[in-house]
Amino acid sequence: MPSKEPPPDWRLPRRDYVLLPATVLVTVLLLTFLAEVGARLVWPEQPVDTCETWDEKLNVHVHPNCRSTVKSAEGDWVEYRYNECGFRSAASCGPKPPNATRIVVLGTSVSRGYWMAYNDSFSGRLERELSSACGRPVEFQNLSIGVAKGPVWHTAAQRSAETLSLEPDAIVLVVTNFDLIQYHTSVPAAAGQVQPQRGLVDRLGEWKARFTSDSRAMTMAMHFAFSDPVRYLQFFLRHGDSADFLRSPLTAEWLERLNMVDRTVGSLADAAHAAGVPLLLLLAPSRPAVIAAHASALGQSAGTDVTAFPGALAAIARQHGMVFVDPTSIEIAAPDWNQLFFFSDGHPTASGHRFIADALRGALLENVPRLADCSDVRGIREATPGNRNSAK
Amino acid sequence: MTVPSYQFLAFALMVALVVRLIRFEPLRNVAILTANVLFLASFAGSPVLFIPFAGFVLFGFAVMRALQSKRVSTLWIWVAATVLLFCWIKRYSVVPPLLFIPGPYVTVGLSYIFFRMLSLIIDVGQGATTKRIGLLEYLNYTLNFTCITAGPIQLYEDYLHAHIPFSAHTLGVSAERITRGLFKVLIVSEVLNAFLHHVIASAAEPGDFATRSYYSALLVSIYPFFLYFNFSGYTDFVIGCAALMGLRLPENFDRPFTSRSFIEFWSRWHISLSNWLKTYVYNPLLSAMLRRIESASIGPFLAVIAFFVTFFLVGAWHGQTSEFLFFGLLQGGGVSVNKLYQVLALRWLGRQGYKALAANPLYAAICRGLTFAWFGFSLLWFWSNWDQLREFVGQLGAVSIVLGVLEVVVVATLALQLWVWVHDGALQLRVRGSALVESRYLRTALCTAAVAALLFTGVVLNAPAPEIVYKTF
Repeated sequence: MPSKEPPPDWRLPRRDYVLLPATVLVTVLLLTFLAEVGARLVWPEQPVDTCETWDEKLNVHVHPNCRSTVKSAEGDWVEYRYNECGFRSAASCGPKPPNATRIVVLGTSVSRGYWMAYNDSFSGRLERELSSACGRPVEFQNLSIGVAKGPVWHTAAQRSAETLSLEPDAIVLVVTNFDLIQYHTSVPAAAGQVQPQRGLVDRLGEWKARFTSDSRAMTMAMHFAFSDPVRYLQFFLRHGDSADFLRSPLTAEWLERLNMVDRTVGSLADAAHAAGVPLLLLLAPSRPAVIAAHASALGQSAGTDVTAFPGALAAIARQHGMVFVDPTSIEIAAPDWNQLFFFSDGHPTASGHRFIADALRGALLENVPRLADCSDVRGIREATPGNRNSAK
Repeated sequence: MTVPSYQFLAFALMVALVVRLIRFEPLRNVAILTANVLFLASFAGSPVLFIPFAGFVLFGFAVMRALQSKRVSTLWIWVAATVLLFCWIKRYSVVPPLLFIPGPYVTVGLSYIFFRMLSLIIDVGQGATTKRIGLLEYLNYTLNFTCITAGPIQLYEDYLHAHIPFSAHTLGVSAERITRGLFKVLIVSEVLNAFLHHVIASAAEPGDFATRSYYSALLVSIYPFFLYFNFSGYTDFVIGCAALMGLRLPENFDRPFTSRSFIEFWSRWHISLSNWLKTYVYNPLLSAMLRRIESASIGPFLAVIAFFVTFFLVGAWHGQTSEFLFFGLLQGGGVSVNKLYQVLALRWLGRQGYKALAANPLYAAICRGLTFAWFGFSLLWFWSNWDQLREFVGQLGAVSIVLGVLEVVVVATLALQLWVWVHDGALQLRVRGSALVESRYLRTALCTAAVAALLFTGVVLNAPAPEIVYKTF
């Protein structure tokens, strides 16, 4: 070992025992303040939809004929307009006009066009495109089953009477893996069961989670950190259960969630079949699923299985005589496939909705008798302003 | 174990605590050797994978002891044998592949062990080191875990006199270096790396001439900064960790991009490597040539040759492929052309004239820009291979790339001059006679900011699976 040098004559002045910790504290507070204020100035957000109210059972109620303005930190200001039934739709929910075709969409935030202007959402796009193609009104009624903060997707089955009362020509039930993951923490405590006391670690975890979701600086940092798709997928796959829908075999938890889907779909399908209405099950892909599918198409599966979850949903749909729609293959072929979702928030962007619309349009034209005579949709799509994916 | 990482930091802190607590030196040396072995063990599960590595290290010890005990006398044969053995174990392309040891084995840090071993053999052989070095001390010197993976390269004599006593100052300065290192590697170089990948992807898309030259300029100029922040960050980190243990490691960087010539650049970039090669290659080579050619007029030109050989080796040492040989040619070429220019300029302008020219701020700024651009351009052979380079030329066009390099010269000239002004200006700001940038309050604040950024990054990267976030409530 090296030889020793005499120790240097270096001591901290007494005042530094106060000043140095104070410097640390002031720096942290100042940085936090500046980062948060800066992020809020650069990326303002208005997440509260003033048209909505929530009851104790987490059911959402929308004021009829209401308008509100919202903004995602990562997106633009958009206006939400609701019809007299509180559905996000350009058409009235009253008696269906004799020459109109009516599609009812049931789902959560993606189906409602969260953070999107209506015309950019897949419903708005299809309404416009199909109306032009058919030469008569094709309207979409969006029955939101909640922009959920809890497990509410299964309540779709309870809306069958309301759905059928709208005299639909087709019903589209939209499902995402995010709708289902919420069933993870949904098991209520049994009667009399004592809730375990939360320790310091739990409280710190809650504090961190709250910081993660509330801090705009965090949103901004996540946006940039997750802009790289490969890196994002690596992070996502770290998070066990949330990411297990991308692995096979599917875990017991995911199989249980699929059972719930089966029950919900079965109940809705029975009602729809009895009324003679075609029912479609649309899987709205999430960003990790699209990235994993893209990697898989390039032969770089990285331990993921992108077929297990959609395959299970397709089997459920088949079993109940439904049409299953999965836009993933169209999305991964898109030139801007990494721009289909907000990087931090995870909802589809306008580009993402465009590809959902593309996938759903084909399925509707093939399976809805009232749309059988509509043609040349492709030509109309190409003529649509702002369509960046024109076919050649 | 990755260096730098929080895992390595925890390991280094534990070792530092143990080493600082043990007063009995032989026991302390055993503890250090244990730490070195544990660190190495983290790279492979089976001791079998360490056989070539261990053989190489023990070969060095045997040669050193044989030279010390005068059992062998021809130093250059043993130096050549060590170099050949190194090239064989590292699978350099100069060795026929048929001769390679089959199967995988550990070579981590072998290049840096090679430098330490070779300098020790030469010093012992030449009588510069007379101290009898035991196996334990030899192993602790050559296998020092704080600098085994990527240096800095420490000479034995420096290692011998490099003890740092423990004090609040040592603790504070070490914490500052470690934080600075982590910040540079985990944040700055990560961002630059992501930016480089973005530029590579964007360069593949069709674009007009201006766009292509712009991307060429970015391809040339981003990587030097990435490499600087990555490597100097690593160096800061290991210097801080070693200081906690009481070991002073040599510095490796001294504001390299402010260099006004390529020769100066290599005295500010990877300093420990440059110094090693100057001591063990450049000086002996030049002395040997001067002994054979005793001409005052040719003498300065011999330095050009010695520079070329030395810095060709600097480049070639970095890797085993032909790209690194070319990288070496560009380094050797850059430094030797620089030396040749100096020799000729001195002849044409005279000592005073050349001194006046070198002192001209505009000349200095342009030289800085040229130095940076040449280094950035030569690094293309460091971070990409021939196929990628052909791809870049195909995508961007040779003319766009040339124009891009010229753009780098212009922008680097202006930007680096601005940086020099800012740096010098900051040093002029003084409070109570001391430079403000040296103030421990400012340094504490900067260190805190770096820690906050690291924590923030840690939270971002370990946040719950990023997915649809329901923020409405």
